[in-house]
Amino acid sequence: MDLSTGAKSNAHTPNGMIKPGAFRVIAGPCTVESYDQFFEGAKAVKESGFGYIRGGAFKPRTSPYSFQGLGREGLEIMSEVASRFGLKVVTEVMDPYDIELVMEHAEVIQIGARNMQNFSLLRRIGAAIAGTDHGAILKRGLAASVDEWLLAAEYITSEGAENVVLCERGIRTFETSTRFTLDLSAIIVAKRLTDLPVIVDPSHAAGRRDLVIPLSKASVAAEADGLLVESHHEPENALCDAEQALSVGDLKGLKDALSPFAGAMGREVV
Amino acid sequence: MTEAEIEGRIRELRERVDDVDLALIHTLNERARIVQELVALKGEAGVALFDPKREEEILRRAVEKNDGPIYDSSMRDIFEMILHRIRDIEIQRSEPRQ
Repeated sequence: MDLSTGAKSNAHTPNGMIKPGAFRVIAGPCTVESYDQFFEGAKAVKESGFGYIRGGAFKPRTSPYSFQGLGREGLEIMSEVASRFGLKVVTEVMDPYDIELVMEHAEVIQIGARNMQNFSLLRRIGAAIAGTDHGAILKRGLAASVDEWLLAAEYITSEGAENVVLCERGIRTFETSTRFTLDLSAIIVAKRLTDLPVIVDPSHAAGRRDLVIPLSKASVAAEADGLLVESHHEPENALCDAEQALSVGDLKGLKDALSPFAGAMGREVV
Repeated sequence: MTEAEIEGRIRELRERVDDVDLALIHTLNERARIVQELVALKGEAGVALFDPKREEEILRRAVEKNDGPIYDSSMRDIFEMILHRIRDIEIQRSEPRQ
């Protein structure tokens, strides 16, 4: 059954992160906690058949007293471990001073939801990655409209950056049974309006492990170009976002779980 | 003015408002038809629909051409609404680009 008629599945980035007909899965822990922890995380990502790993070195936490990430040491652990497994690294930058350092250790810079309208950061990242193979993932702000999100992306692309990807991560609504509300329509609307690929972060949207796989399936059907998903080798002991990380078992089953849906949309899970 | 005169005058002004509204409806639909053509053409050419530069140009022009009594900021709001509502409707009608 081919359900892809009418869906836009040719979005891509010149660096190959997003490819036409492919559904890109980026998985990994919320944060780098130690060499051993990230090593186990990377091994699970590799064994699950995925090529991109996520991990945080600088964590934007709501409370200044929560764990803030390992910083430079975290970046070094990520790049060393990722290169052993042949994985590409996605990590967040919060401070313009860290852009260069992060680019030495990661292929893709993530801009968090809380920084979506930090326009000087967006411009600097755009200028830094312009003309390189480095990419940027721009998360949608928790209260941003689709137009505001696209205009924020314009700050990055207008500096000459080409490998820019949008990421829907849930918006704030009155609903309390999930942490945020995943806005599936925003994926489709954004894809109708721009050529930028759109991926989905079901982990932060739901804040609950049990919803991550069903929401991932829904994202495939809603024409998304990929996923940014949290996984941990010991979710119950994760230092942050423990309740939303997929276990190694779930991560290894993710490709099989998504493949029938991706196939129906004319895509292959990579 | 007598009560009857006031009533007559009100009726007359309301009729003029109705005529302007009718013209607005026709004009807005004419605008939508042009946008429809534009969306189809962009689709064929594989050009992205989202064009914030052009949008800003239209909004700036709406303010420049405005000589009141509507406030400039209100004229901008009205045009923003027209732009987005028409764009969204025309996108729904069109097939997504491949």
